[in-house]
Amino acid sequence: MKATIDRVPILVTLIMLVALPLALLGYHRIYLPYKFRGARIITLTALASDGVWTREPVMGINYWRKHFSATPNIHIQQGESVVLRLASADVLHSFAIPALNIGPIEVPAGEVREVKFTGERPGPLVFLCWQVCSPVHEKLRGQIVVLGPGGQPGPEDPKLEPDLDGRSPQ
Amino acid sequence: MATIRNQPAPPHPDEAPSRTWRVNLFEKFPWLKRVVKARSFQFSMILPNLLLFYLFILAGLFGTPIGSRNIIIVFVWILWWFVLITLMVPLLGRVWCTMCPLPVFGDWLQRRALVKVRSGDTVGLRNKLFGLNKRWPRKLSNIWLQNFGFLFLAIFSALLVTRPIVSALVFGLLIGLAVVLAYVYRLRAFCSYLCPISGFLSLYSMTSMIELRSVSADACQKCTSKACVRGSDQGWACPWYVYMGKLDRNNYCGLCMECVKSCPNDNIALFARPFASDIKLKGYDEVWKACIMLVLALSYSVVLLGPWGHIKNWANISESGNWGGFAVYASATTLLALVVFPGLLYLVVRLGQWLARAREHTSRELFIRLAYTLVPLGLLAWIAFSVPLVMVNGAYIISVLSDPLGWGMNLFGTAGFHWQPLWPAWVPYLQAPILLAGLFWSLRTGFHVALDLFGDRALATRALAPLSVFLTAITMVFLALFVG
Repeated sequence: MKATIDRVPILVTLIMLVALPLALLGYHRIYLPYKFRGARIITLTALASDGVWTREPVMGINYWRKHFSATPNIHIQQGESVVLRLASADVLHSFAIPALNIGPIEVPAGEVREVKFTGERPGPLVFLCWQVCSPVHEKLRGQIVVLGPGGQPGPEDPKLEPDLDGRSPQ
Repeated sequence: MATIRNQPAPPHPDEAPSRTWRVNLFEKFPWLKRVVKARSFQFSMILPNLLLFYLFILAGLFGTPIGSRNIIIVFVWILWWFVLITLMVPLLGRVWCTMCPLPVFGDWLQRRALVKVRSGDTVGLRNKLFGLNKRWPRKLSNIWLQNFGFLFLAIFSALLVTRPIVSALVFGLLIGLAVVLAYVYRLRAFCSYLCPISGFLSLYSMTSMIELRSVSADACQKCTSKACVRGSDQGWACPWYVYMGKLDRNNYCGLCMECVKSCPNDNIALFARPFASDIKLKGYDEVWKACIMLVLALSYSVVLLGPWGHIKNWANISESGNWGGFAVYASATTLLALVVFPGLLYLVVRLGQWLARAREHTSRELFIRLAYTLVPLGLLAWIAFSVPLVMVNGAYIISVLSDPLGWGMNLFGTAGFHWQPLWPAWVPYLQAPILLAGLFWSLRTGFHVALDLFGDRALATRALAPLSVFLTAITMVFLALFVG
């Protein structure tokens, strides 16, 4: 009995030290893919300080020492189901894809909003922050490119800049 | 074995003369004694907090940088702080130290055990302790390091209580420090001399309504083993190196209950007692602690609750980048806490000494003894500060419970709970009576201290008069700040 009296608390402590980070990791690696099975999950975080939507993970350990880069064009296949997990690391942002009539969706600081869509038509889809959030609000935009058959970007040139009002060129 | 069965405590020079009751909780609730005597008692209390603080640190590192959506900020600086200062300290003293997870890894390193006790012989203690077991330097055997540590952290409080990463790093640092010190020094050197939380707990636990004491002083005197402090095969040596036979204050007892297990005479018990029963400060370090805590209650109230945006910006250095303003804020807080306030306290005590024509007591003795009046007022000022913290920000507790890292979880379905303050219009009506209660207790206990010193009501009144005006002025400042 005396020999085992400490083994249980040590074991419990060790299990706890290992299990908790595994559980947190499991949320991203197991739970979310299960929840959105069949869909591709893309996380975008808005940062007013850098004026970007970024796909880099933004968290406590790196937020204060790092400048984040804007997400490059996101390529998805025609017909592919996509879940965008939208987060804000600082202020209230909003998100919209005008070409798909998605949004504006408010993205409060510290919260996550999810939007699901399917790229039906090949071509570029501009997404942007719809609510003036900072002096660099205009920079908070990016492109999702729906690739057509054979992985081609589609009949429209994806390098074309969208109109200033955010709509894709017709 | 002599027992105290709900009898008035015998008069003691350090006790408030008005103390009329003392209840042996181990006699009243025998199950409590059985629980406390179990070897698994302390670890059972530590384990849930260890899990929580581990989650807090992970959340601080990998969760959202937004404080109001991160569990480390919401649960530590809103919920835990409120519960600690409002309920745990006034009612149960240093019970947080019983369950604190910060030193547990250091304890394990030193004891190679989490629950069981090892007999042995280490530096005169009757337990087997690992590590270097050095003695803590005598010159640092006080709470000055804790005073400066807490003041330093408090100056950066605008960052500490709003930035998850800062809180996570501070907790990680404290845990690391506890481990290192446990390896180098004997017993709980970190808790005794460095932990900033321990510093203010030691002071305000003097007001608490429980105490762990020996039942019979005679039994302690006759005891040859002194197992309470030196340990035995039934319990570890006191981590705070406290001898229960002479313990007369709560300040440095961490309520680990090892002495209850190790005492061969079953002579230690938990007692309930009136509020603010310990009334003797014993050194300048404790006086300055009282001053620092009261000044910081004022500083926190100005920075975190006040309407002056420029002062908030001065304190919020990581966002404002205004180092000049930060220097003004930091210098003013430090000077006020370490020089101005203690200086004013000394002046009013000296004035009272002159009014009372008190020559039989030195200024030092009067200064240290009467500084106790800052303790009840300081505690209640902190409680008054903490009330709006939880009433205005408490809604974040509900949402963060479901999404502790701001990752978009919804564990209990409350992640979408919108922020809403709880009866904000009632906040001043709660703060004002709390502050006035603090003033009442300070004046009351101050009178008892003065009466104990001078033995004459008229002299005690004259000696206390300037200090009473000072304490009332402080209360008025707080009232003006809280109520307008």
